This record gives sequence, structure tokens and C-alpha cells, in this order.
Amino acid sequence: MMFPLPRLFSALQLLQPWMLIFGLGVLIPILIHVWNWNRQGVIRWAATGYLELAMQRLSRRMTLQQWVLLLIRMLIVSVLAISLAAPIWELSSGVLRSQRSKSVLHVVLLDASYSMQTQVNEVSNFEMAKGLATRLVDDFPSDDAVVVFMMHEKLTEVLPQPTADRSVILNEVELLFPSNRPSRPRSCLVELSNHPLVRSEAMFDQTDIHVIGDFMGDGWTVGAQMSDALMAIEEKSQLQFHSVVDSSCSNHFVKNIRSDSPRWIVNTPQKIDVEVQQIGGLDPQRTLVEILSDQKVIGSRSVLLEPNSSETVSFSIEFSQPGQKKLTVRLADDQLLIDNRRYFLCHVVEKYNVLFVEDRYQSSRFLQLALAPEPLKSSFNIRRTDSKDFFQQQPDDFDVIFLDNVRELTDGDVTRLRRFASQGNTVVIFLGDLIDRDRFQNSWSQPAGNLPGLPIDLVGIQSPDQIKIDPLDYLSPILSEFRGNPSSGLTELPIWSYHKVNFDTEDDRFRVDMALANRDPLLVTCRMGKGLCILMTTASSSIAKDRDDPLVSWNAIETSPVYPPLIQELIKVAIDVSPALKFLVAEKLGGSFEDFIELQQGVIRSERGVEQNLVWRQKNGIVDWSADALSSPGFYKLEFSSINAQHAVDLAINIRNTDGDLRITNPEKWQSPVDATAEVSRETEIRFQVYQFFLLGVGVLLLLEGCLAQWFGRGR
Amino acid sequence: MDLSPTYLDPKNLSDLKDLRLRTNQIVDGLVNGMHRSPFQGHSVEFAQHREYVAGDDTRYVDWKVFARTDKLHLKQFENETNFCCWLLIDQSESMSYRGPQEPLSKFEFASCFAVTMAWLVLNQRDAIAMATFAESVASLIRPSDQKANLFQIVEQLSRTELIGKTSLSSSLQEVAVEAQHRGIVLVLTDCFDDFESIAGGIETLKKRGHQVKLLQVLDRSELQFDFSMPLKMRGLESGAEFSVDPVMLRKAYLDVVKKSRDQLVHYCQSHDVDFFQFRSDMNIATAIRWVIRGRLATERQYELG
Repeated sequence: MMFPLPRLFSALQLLQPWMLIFGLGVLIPILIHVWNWNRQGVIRWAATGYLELAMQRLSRRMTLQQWVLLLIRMLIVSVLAISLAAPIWELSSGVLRSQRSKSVLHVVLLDASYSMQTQVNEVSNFEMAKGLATRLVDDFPSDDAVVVFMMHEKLTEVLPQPTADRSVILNEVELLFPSNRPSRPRSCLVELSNHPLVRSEAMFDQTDIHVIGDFMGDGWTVGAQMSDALMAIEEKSQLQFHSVVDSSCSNHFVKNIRSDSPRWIVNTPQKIDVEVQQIGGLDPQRTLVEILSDQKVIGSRSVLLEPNSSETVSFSIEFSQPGQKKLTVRLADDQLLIDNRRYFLCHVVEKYNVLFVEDRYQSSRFLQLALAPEPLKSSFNIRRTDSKDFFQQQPDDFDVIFLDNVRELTDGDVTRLRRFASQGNTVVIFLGDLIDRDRFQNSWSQPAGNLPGLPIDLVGIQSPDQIKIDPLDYLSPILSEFRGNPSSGLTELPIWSYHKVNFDTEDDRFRVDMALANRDPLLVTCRMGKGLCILMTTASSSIAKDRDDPLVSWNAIETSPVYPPLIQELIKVAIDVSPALKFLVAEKLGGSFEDFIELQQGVIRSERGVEQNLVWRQKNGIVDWSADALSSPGFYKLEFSSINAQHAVDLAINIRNTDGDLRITNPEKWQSPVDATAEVSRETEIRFQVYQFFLLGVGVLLLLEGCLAQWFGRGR
Repeated sequence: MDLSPTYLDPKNLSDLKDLRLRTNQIVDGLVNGMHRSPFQGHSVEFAQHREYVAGDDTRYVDWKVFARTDKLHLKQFENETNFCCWLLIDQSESMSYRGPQEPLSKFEFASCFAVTMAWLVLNQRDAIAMATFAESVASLIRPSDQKANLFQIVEQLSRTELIGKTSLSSSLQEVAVEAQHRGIVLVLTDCFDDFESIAGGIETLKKRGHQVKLLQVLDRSELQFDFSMPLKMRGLESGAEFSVDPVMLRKAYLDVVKKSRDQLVHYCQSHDVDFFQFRSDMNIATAIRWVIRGRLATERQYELG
């Protein structure tokens, strides 16, 4: 099929059109030609008879040759100028399709949500979108049909009947104005994909959908549902996004939010650091950072942000009532709503709940004493239990569980402990004389299901003559307070026996906090899921004794003045693990909890009331649940209900702290069915080929010119 | 009177001192000379001896002198006649052309040639006559074997104004009327005339019994047409202007020149006329040597290049 020539030339675009100025070089051969004829001196000639005869013979042919050479030389300069202008032949998109004599429908979809009223330099984004739409419509082939839609909360028809009359289209676009409604792009795109014009393949051979908007707001966040919507629409049509956001405008976003501890004590001030970043812009800008608790502003700070820099703002917050608190940090005066909020859950307690599990009565009393010397004034609520009775305890009621020289734990108990740790809590294990090596390893080392293991190998009990402690440069957070205080006695702890342990030193889950002089680990921290397991390879006190005659204690560390602060630092690290369920947008959700009552329904519900059903499996009182990734950040509630009970957990969903800039809303960068990178690379390839063709043309013309000049000149 | 070395170059004269212009046919002379006279029974008295030169008739070698001196001498007798050499020089405007960086114009070359030839002829006691012509004879110096004729020739040539077009036919007819005695006629022209006109003029002279030598004088650029840039050429005689691209025209031009020359050569060979083509930058002595030794243009074509 022949391509209509005008279409082909309209598809030829130049990336550097200013280079066409070299096209003026065509004047060079003309000027040389004219100059040669004009500058020729008049000479007086005698042999005019010969000359006349020769010219009679050659006159017409010579003139023709000169014009041919002139034309070729002009062509060489012109083609060279075009090739310098980096020509691309956009046959990949619009033109190729239009060459096929197909009937093409262009759907112009304008975002008319309230965010489009954002003004930059007194021009609103919606006005820019209208201008862009006008240019697009002008660029469409004249025989292509066009329809116009608007979207905000729902899809609105503006020009539902396909028409090729440009004046009608442009008049309709000119009359449009934005709404005060939020944007719900996903539902609008789904609605559009089901529209008869788009759905019916009989009416048009091809449908191009041009979405023009600012791509701001929660609705544009990439998620599974948005991906599905995009995929559905891509099956039937070509989707193209046109952003009207000025790339030079600045954007603030909350990069991170940090707290001293995720578990807060009532009436105790806690420090919250909010890191705010500005992207883009040329001048410093002031923005207001507000922190809200349950929709109420509890603190605000103004911060001056340099372009492309970040600032950290600190808030001191305290709560008088225990319970789960929802903290929201937001920025005022920002152009992009999606990234100026962070959601943070904190658990405010009256006291930290610590459970001590022991096999020998009162064996953990020194630990309890170190933790809470004055129980009434302490911030720790301590409970102890025998290992046999551990099954009666609900691990989720505690913040930290200590296992002190525990021999008897059923596999079920260990599983509950491992689940407890993997959900973001800490289990502290002190070994001792009662530990059975095989039983310990069988219970702990291997992962079970989705529960992580503790791959530590107990080699055997070691009792060297002299033991010295190596604090390993105090790099561990547990020991960091002892740095610079060598006389604290930490290195002189009286230890005589310990379990030698082996583990994979390359495994980055492990961290040795403290070791012995012979490099055997003494205190080891291991990540288990979202929580921790802290293992002390010796006993918690001198109560642990070898059963030989005479009885020999494993250590006497409780007698050391460094013992209480060491345990305090250890518990500080142990409780600094957030038990809250924290997930990211577009991240697969999942978890487990303990419930022996048969569940009937499980949903995840946003604050706006949007529900999504959960998938769960209940076995042996353990509920494993999962859900599709969420598309919008915010607070969610996980709700499971049974016949007579309800189990609810709060979730905080945030966008990634690296995603909070304008670029994330650029549809071309979405990891979605809209694969813009493939299109770009294809165009680049075609552009390169066209460029080569033109250079090849220059070469051929040069060769031709040389041959012709030689042929015409005969021996020049 | 200016006997300028432009016309008589001592080096040329030195080179040519042994040459004698001889006719290869019977000529009419008023006085005795070294050429065969059609008139029999005149004085056969011994006049003088002279050295033998190549080409002399061995019948006149004085063998007694040879026996004594071992050198060849000729006996000269009073009854030999002399001949008249007519120098016909084209003074049309086209003869004034001198190519870039050329030492002489065509007319200057022809003048030098003519004066040197006159000197040579007078030196061998033959008579010399000269006429300049364009559309008709413009000036005429009658035959004389006196040295004074040489000065007249020089004077005439030096004051010749080059105007008009060449018309060999009418000019040579006029000369033929003046040159009643048979002799040698050297026609120095660029031959920028109709072939019929050239042929008609030569034929008139031939009918008078003259030995005709046609000497075509051309400039180097007229022969090679080696211009590189486009030119506007204005005809010296016609005044017509031509815009030409020499690079493209050269082949056709050279073809025309060759064709014209071949036509002249063919005509001259068939009518017993010596034809020579000279380039104006050529050495005069060489040119005269060629004429005297009668080498035809066809034989030295390669030398002109």
C-alpha cells in the first residue's frame, strides 16, 4: 500500500530544528554559480570562429549540465542540514496507524478535579490542559474522529458523538471549567473502558485515549486496582498520558517520620522527628508542618526549605491516655496531596508488659530486680510464669518476653514465641545449665511455614580458666552507653561458664553485641521477621549452677554494678521494635495472629469506608491472612469477626519515602501496563535510522556530483 | 629608425647565418643570382668564391681549390638570377591577440619572423618585398635587394595599426597584381577567415607561378584553450560576446581547431603549398629553420603540442 506523501512528510519531525539554519547553505552553490559568472573578466578573444562553432555544438548540453550540477550541490547542502537537525520519523505511533487507512477515534479525557485549579503563574492547570487538548486536536489527522470527556469523581461526557469538525471540538473544549470534586481516575478509566465507543471494535479500527491532567492526588497512586484498570483499557485502545504539571514548580514532601520508641508511656514526652524535603523550585520556601492525632492538630512548626534540601523538625508529644494513637503529619501549601502526609501508629501504654518464663523458681529475680528496682514506680509491668504454664499466657499482651534458662517448652510454645517475635516483638533468651542442646535446636533453628527460625548451633558448655569480655568497640546499641567508660566493669563481668554457639557469620540477620576474649559470642542479636531475638550465651545470674560436686555457678554477673544498666539497655533495645502493622502502598499485605474461635469474615477497611475482603487460613488457632496491595496511603483497620467476637488491628499505609516527589505521578514512570519506556526506545531507534539515511543520502549525492563533474568536465 | 632587437635578435641571426632561402622552382629575377633563371645565355663569368653549404649544387664546386685547401668552395657566376620573397603579413585585429603570460602577440611574432626572414633574404642578395593586409592590402613595400628595404620593412611594421577583419581572398588578389615576377610568397596569418576565402587567395598566387608558404600563427591559448574559470569572451574583430565555461567547452573547441587545421593541411598538400602552424611563443630561429627546410606542419605536429 502506498503511503500518502503529505502524511509521510508530516510524520517527519526534527529534534533540533534550529540546525536547519545550515540549510541556508544552499545559497552557497547558487552564489558561487552567480559569482563565477559575474566575476569572470571580459577578455578579448581572437578565435571567435572556433569558439562559435564549439559553442553551437555544446551550448544546450552545457547549460543542462550546469543546472544539474547546481541542483545536486544544493541538494547535498539541504540534506546535510536536515540530517544535522536530527530528523525522526514518527512512524511508530500516530502516522503508521493513520497510514493504514484505518478509522481512528481520539478520546480526549480531561482531568477536571479540584487539583486542576492549582495555579502556576496565574494560569491554572486546567487552562493548560485545555491548551494542550487544543494542540493535540490540531495535530490529529483531519479525518480522524474525536470525542471529549471530563473526569473527576465520575466520567462526564462533553462531546460524546464522534466528530471530525475541529471548530466544534475546540469550541466545546473552550467552554469547559474544572469542578470542585476530587479525582477518582481509576473508576473513571474503568467507566471509560466500558463506554460503548471504546468497547465496540466495530465502530472504529483504533481508539487512542489521551488523558490530560496533573496526575495529583491519591487516586493516581499505582496499585493493583489501578493496574487492572489500566490493563483493561490498554486491551482495547492506546492510552497516552499528557501531564500539565510544570516541572519547574516545587514540591514539599514528608520524607520520613521517626520516634524514640514505637511504644509510648502515658504522660511521658516522646520526641518525634519529621524530615521534610523540597524538590524542584529555585527559591527557599516556607512550609507549615502539622502533626495531627485523630484528626486534631496537636503541634505545628514552620520550616524554611532550601531548594532540593531536607530539614528535620522535632515535636515533643505526650499522651495522657493509653491506647492506639493515629498520628498524621501533613504539610500545608503543597501542590501534590499524595506525598505531603505520613501516617504513624503509636501504641501508648501505661507500663511496658514484660513476661519472664523460667524453669527454676525465682531464677529470674535478679533480672526483674534490674529491670524494676521499685516496682510501683517502674514503667514495667512484670509478670512471671513457669514454662509449663506458658500456654496459658497470651504473648500479644506483652511487649517483651524473657526466657530464662528454660528447658521445657513445647513446640507449640516455641511457635507462638516465634510468631510473637516475627510480628515485631522481642524475645530475650538467657541460656544456662538447664538448656538441652538438641531440644533447643530442634525447636528454634528451622523455619516453620512463614515463621523464621533461629539458626544457632549450640556446640557445648565451655568453662575456661579465665574469661575476659570484649565489648567489640561498643558498636552495639545495647553497649553504646558504656562507651568511654572503661571502668564501668563491663569487661570484668564474672563469667565462668557459657554455651559456645555457632552461626553463619555471613548471615546479616545476626549481630554479635558482646563477645569473649576468645571470640566466642556472649550476646547475640538476631532479627526474626519484624522483631528480634536477643540471646545471652551464659545464665542470667549465679542461680544457674552445674550439678557437679561441688556446685559451681555459671557466673555471678548480678553482683557486678554494671548488671542493672546492662539489662536496662537491653530492654530498651528490646522494646524499640514496633509491633504495629506497617505496610507500604502497592505492597502485598499479610500477617498472622492467634485466635481459636472460628472466624467468619475478614475485611480491611479504610477510613473512608472502602472495604476489601481478606483471605485467611485458620489452623491450630493461628490465623494467617493476606490481602491485595492497597493503592492509597492512610489508616486502615483490619477486622476479623466471629460469632461472638471481633478482632481489629490498625494499619498505617504509607508511600515509600523515596517516592514522595512529583516524578512518581508521572505516568511514564509507572511500573504498570503503560509501558512508556518501550515506546521511547523504539522511537529512538527509528530516529537513528532516519538520521543515517540522510547521511547516506549526502554520501551518495557527493559521489554522484563528483562523477558527473568529472564526466562533464572531461579531465578536469 | 629603430632597428629594435625585438625584430632582429642577434642570437637568432647567429643561428640562421648559414641558412639560405631557396626556391624549389624557377623564379624570375631582374639580376643574376643563385637561383635558376628561366633566361638562358647570360654571362657566365666567374664572380667569386664562397664556402660550400649544404644544399649547394656540387657542379659548382671548385675542385682545384678543394685540392689546395682541402675545403669546399663554390665558384659563383654572374649569370645566376635572384628571386623575390614576398612577406604578406596579416594586420587584422585578431592578430593583436596575446594570451596571458605570452611574450608576443601573433602580429609581433609575425613581424619578428618577417624581419628576420627579410634580413636572411637580403643577406643572400635576393630581393624582399612586404605587404600588410586585413580586408585589403594596407601597405606595400616593393621588391628590392637593397639593405634599405629591411629598414623600411621594420619601420612599416612598427607603425602598423591592427584593425579590420581578415580577408585573404581579396588581399592576396591585390598582392598578385603587384607581384608579377615569380617568387616565394610567405603568408603570415592566423587564418581566421573563411576557408573558401583562404583557398581563393592562395589559388590566385599559385596561378601567378609563386611558391606559396602559408604560415598560420596562433597563440598558445588559442591552441590549448586551457582556461579554468568561466569567462566572458569578446571577439576582437566581430565584437560579439560569449559567456563560456572553458572546462566544459575545451574538448569541443579543440575538436574545432583540429578540424580547421586538418582542412588547411589537406588543401595545402593537394595544391603544393607548404603549410606551417606556429605558436606565437615559438623561437623565431626555429620557425625560420622549419620554413627554410620545408618541413611540413604534418611532420612536426607533435612538436607544437
